[in-house]
Amino acid sequence: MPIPADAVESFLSGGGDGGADAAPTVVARNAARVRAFLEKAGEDVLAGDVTWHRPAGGSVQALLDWRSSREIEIRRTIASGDSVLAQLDTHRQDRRQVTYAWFRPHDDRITDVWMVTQDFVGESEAATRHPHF
Amino acid sequence: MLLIDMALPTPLDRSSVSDPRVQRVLTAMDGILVDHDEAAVKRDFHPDFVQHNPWAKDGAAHVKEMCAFEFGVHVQRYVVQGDLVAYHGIYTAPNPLGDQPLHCVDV
Repeated sequence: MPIPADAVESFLSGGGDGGADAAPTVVARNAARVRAFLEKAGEDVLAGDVTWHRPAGGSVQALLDWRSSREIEIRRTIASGDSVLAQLDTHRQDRRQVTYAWFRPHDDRITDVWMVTQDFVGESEAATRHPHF
Repeated sequence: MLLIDMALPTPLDRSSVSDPRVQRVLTAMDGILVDHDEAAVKRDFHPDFVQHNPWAKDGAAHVKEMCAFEFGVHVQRYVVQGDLVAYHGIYTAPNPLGDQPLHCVDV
């Protein structure tokens, strides 16, 4: 996704350390909290001061609105340290997109979110035989 | 306006990465975009490399073509689990899509 220079810092800002020392139970619980958010849009898994790292910012309500405005299929999650990545196949009205949603949970609440989204490209249009998934 | 030299947040400290899976991925990407080294592609990519970026081709031969690209990658954070590594960052500009950086997650 092309981004203007003044927005770069916003998109990249914040912590998130996939190499942080974390017990396997904590890593698994973080992934489960992310799945809970994606599958149920539960407000209780978002920290009250959650940061959505983008120029427009984002509150709990903005993330709940994002979640509730599309159908989401979780294609995979990758979790380590204090971070969880979810690769999502999403449908909103007639638009299919692939979103890489990156989360940082802390104490059972999601505190940081980053997202990269691209429109879905079917096999007939793609340069590869294995687009996206 | 080219944005190669713009101020960016401090990138991931590569020296802090101890996981060999992550080191291998970052080394492989450096081989393409920093060192522009086709020999590194042969070392780090399987000949039948499966590409999932819809706009790129399968196979290490296409990865070698990427060595000619002039843009770089700025890695900010990563995750690793089992046989998967992902990083989040930007491809610096200029790049194949223009003079603005590209926000990216690569798995």
